[in-house]
Amino acid sequence: MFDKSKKEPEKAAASAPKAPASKPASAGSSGQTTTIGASITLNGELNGNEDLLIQGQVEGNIFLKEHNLTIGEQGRIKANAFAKTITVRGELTGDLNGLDKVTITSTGRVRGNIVAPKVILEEGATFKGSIDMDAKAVKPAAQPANAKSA
Amino acid sequence: MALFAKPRVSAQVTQPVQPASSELGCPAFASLVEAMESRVEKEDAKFGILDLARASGNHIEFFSRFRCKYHIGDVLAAMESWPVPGEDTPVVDMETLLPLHHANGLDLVLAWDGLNYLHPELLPLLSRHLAARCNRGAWLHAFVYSRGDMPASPLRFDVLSPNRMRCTRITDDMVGAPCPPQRVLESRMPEFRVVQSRLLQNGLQEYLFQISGS
Repeated sequence: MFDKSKKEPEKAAASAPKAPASKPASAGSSGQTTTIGASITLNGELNGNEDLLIQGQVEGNIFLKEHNLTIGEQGRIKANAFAKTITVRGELTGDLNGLDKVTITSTGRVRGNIVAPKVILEEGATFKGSIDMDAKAVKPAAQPANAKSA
Repeated sequence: MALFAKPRVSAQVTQPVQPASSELGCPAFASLVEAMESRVEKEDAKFGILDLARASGNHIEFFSRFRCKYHIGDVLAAMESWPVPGEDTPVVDMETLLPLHHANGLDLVLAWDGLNYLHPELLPLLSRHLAARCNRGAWLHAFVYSRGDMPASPLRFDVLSPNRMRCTRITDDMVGAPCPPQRVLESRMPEFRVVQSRLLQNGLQEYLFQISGS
């Protein structure tokens, strides 16, 4: 179901309209980035210990502990997400907890609430909701009890 | 129709009267930032901030210097078309127009130039709606045109520093500005009192209100 984009970055990027759209925000400490492709629809809890790029549709909760989450331009997400950094280039409805930073790029559309010590809205980004800019408030409390590593 | 009701159609002109983008000093805003910093020094405050403009990276970045919960109101462009109490609309539900049920404990409302575009009968309703969510000592910052014409839609404000902003017009169309004097504003917003008022060089009057009883 998931592609390892580290191994085949060109293949993973093929479904995206622009090259930067499928590029993750940054590589995690493990050096791996998993891609959920544009044709994938996922419902439920999503947990992992590596960076994740979502180009498909996800409904549920996303928990990446200390890794980076990128919603690609084709990504359509209805989920609450917790990650080290979160970059939204597509659409997301839900609450975002970014341990370090949340970025909504010029193509990003977010409806929900953000908790992060640093929030960046690029020119053209769309956001409705509230932003809690308080480093003390960001704790990984959202991890589900039955969470398992990917 | 704009605040205190100068008819829009008769006042409409097409000649721009100022550059599309200009910088202005904002001494009352600078005082506000200073007061917030002072409050932080005293009590490590966390602020509830309501920005009536659409989400702006500039605004968010500027206020990220404070521990805060920053609520995006995104109503400035819509305020002009809010329904006015009357036969067709016996009751105006402000919570529908500006949902604040998640925005308890506001310490600052950023109105920018939105009050100029609000129908006069709606200003008391908005004031009451905001005040109900405000903490003791909460501020409201606003720009109100004091003379002549104003752009047909609200300006975009970027904060360059605590005492300097850049305002950008998104339309060249101009309409008559309502130009309510301070006493009229205060009478229509009894929940707030003016703590600072400065006439800026471009004709905007900068107001810093604070919730009454503070």
